Amino acid sequence: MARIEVEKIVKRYSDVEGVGGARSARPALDTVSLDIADGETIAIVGSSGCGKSTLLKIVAGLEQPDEGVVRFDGEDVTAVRPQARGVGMVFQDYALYPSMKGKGNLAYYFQVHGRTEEEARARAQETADRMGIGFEQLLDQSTDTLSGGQQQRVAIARCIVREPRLFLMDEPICNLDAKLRESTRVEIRKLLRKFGISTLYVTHDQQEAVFMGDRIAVMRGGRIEQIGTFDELYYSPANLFVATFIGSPPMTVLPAIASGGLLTVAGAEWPAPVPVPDGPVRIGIRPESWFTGRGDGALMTVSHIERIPTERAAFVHGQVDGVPVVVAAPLNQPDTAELRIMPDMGRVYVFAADGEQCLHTPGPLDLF
Amino acid sequence: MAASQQHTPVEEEAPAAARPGERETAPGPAGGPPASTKPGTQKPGRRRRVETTLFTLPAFLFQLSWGWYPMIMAFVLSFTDAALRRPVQFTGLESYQRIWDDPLVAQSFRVTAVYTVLSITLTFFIPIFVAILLMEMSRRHIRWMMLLWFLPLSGVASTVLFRYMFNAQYGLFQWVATKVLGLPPQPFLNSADQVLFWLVVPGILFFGPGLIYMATLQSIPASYFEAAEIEGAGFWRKMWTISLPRLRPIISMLLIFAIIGSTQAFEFPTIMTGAEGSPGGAARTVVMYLFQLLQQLRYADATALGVYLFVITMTLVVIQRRFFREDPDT
Amino acid sequence: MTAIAVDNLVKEFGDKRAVDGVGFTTGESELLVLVGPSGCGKTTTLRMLAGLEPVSSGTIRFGDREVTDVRPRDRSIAMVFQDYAILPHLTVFENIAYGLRSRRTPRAVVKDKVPEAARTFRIDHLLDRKPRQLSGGERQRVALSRSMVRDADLYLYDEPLSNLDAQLRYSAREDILTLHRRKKRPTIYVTHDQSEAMALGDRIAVMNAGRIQQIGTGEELYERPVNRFVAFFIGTPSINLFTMELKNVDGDMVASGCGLDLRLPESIAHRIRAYAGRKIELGVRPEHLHVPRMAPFDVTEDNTIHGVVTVIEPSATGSTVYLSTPEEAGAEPQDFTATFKVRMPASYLDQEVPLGIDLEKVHLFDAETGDSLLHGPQGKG
Repeated sequence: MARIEVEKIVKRYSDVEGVGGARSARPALDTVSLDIADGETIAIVGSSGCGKSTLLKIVAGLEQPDEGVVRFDGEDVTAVRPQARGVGMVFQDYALYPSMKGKGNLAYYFQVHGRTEEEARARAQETADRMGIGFEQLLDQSTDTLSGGQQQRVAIARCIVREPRLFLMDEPICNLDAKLRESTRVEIRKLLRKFGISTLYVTHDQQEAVFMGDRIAVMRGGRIEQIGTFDELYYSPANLFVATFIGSPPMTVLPAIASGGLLTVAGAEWPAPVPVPDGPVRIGIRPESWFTGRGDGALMTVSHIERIPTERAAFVHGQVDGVPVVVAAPLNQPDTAELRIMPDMGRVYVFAADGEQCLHTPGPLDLF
Repeated sequence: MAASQQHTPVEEEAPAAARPGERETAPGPAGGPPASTKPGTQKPGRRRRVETTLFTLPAFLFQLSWGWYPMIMAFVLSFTDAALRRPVQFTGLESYQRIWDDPLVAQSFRVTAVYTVLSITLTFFIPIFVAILLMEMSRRHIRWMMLLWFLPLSGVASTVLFRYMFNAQYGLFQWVATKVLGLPPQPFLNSADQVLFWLVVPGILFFGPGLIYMATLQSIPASYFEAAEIEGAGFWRKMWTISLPRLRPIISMLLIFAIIGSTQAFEFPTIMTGAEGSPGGAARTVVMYLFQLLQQLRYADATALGVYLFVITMTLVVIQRRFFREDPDT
Repeated sequence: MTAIAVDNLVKEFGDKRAVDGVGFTTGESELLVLVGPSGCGKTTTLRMLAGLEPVSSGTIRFGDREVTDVRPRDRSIAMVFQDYAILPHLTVFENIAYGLRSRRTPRAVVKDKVPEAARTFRIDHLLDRKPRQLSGGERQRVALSRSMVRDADLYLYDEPLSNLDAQLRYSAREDILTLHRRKKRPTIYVTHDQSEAMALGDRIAVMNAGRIQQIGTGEELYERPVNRFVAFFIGTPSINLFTMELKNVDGDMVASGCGLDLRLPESIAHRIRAYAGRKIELGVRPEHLHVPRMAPFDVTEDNTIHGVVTVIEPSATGSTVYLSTPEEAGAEPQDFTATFKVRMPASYLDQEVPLGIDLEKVHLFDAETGDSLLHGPQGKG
């Protein structure tokens, strides 16, 4: 258990052949800083190639940063070898020893480190007890007979046995099928809460990140764009990228003209939520922040309605002035070719006309 | 995630001057930072660099003493009289001239050229198509055929076996020719015209790179062939658009081995036809002649012949590289 | 009109039955999704439809043509593979044109159709590139374009979104629907993700252990599952299942177990009186658990469950709360899930809270067979 500080990490890779010179000029990690409080889980989310796995490897010690420092409990570990850092890693492909039973996998660490067999067995047993119901029977099976979810539980137990200061998880459940992923992620979250070990959890799935992380770090192109709780990212995004990255279906972004406190969007005029300097801007509206069927709305041509009975909702897909729009509606929303839609102006995000600057965010939800 | 992180880590730009003593100050397993280093100035990459050097050193020394040193010495010797009992005298291009004028050398190069062409067409290209055809069969059949066609037999043992099979009086091949096919007795290895062809034939069966082709073909994702099948491609189109392009890098590599192997053919023709490459030197390759020169203690001539062969082989390899340019997409 | 008819399809690998009597029909322009956990036989079924896997028994008909033993290339199908099956040494253009060239389509037609299909999926600027230079999403769109240029009788998809980043899946779904609406031909789509199935399918076939458990619209499967498996598989978070015993207490049907005694309402009770004394499983959807103050019904002793909050997951429209029945309730603590339309504050973590169960909306299953006591298999087919 530890407090982890990552300070101004820079990592460059050599010129990778192909894809032109542009990529190699850009560092894989560009001045990344991150603090993990004792017992906290931070989820790092970003699309492929954003540097999230590189960051994880640097914290683990598997890669060396070009600049910057990694500290565990205030102690500089940048030059410490991975074995000596006391981190437990859980990988995408579980990385269990296939020839051993679950038990052997747990005891392996102690055998390698020359502890007695009794001690190894005792520690494995103790961990098994703490892992919860039904775990013990996994230990007597050969690992290749276990399901993906079960293998991942053994892999986590193997880390816990060593009492790591820090857990590093690299997309641990992305190889499981959807239904199993659902239950396994609850399992992992509960274990993390129970053991209170600081954790860095890497994923490309923003919903998984929201679920796993006490805080979420959104990465892109080697930089952390924003780090915060779900509410901070969702209601007060730092920029357009974070605003569209968090939330599914994603936010709709429409061009608008501001003049005299009014926003003109596709022929409709709406009052601006905050004073906006006259000129072109863009407004962002989340699917759940639309009113439908109001006379003063913008005209939306509907392409199809996606009904999700399991979520008691329908998503109306279509276009306003050629821009794709998604509107959440009740499940029984009738089929129409056109729809008048109007945003809940209190829940609108305002962005500059170019670039990604955020001019206004609605902030946390205020129901009354 | 798969394709995203495939960068090659580069070593630090720290000076590579690795003084061995510095390794001692590297952080120990206790986990604490080395006392002397200040944050931001330490270069852990240096340790990795020293390790890299240490790991490659034995191989490098080996290569130097068994690979480069003899090669350079042979090259030097070829410009001398390579005398054994008195100081070596520089003779310039004399031995090169002598080798150039030797009619047996010309013959041996002709033999080697024919042997190379025959063996590459018969034992190199045929297995490619055989392997592709085999892949069309059911999995059980593939396994049996692999065993039969690409049996990994010991070189010398099977060569000796073949000598008996080719025997003009009581060999299996003669029996097939006279008793089964009803032909007049064939000379096989005793005919100056046929000897090279018959030398190559066993290679089709036993020394082909077929197993490697099969392994490569099996590593092609099945979905490529399935998608092609669904898209309406027949056998030939699948071969031209999938099998051959995917085999290309391995073909290119094995072709280099095949060229080097057949220009330097020695053991097999020697065992099959004797050191002279009978009849009348019709099977005497360049290396066989080189070996004869060595036996006659003509070291300078032998090394000069070696240099000639080296130049020709190198030229062939360079031409091959031109034709098979590296393709990063395969 | 029936476009595709599959009858009693069986596939055996050795002595294992991967597909065990699958049968269904599709309409002329229907998108049917086969959904199920890994190993349920859905991919094998799809591969038999494509002709990539010989069938052990059963028949496949496309319209009035039987194709059970026809070679894949003679079946007139287009298929998008999980790994996209794009040839790495060919350009994007050649990859899209592959099927046209295999069928000796005139050059002019190829020159016309390929860029048009590429434009539909926003990759027309990439036609000269090699697949190596493309992102995952672009590769996926190459695979879609390859289907787009074809005029096939049947379009097949084998988990085409599983290799994509989560954020790309939304636009990819749109692309698949675009292709389907253009072609208006029968389409079979295989996935393990029920939410993908819900979003795409006109109808959905839920598969398990080599058999189709139920076919229907998303709503039918969700509201009227014929067995425990379908109820559990459809819907996220999954339905909560409690093993209980059904009792007849003075004419009222009471489900008891897991420390609960739930008095079932008459609308359900009158259909299950015959089951008194039997073991059942009670299924409660997470959205049918309510905070008492906000419940649309009276919360009493007879419909309350207590739970300790273990995890709170925030979402845009509320929260998903993971709970465990308290230890002292007599039985093993059991996990269950509730979804609320309001945000649950983190201060409730590790607190015990009472929740009201909307008993009008529960599902009941035979504990042994797993069959629904309320919804018969008439929904099938």
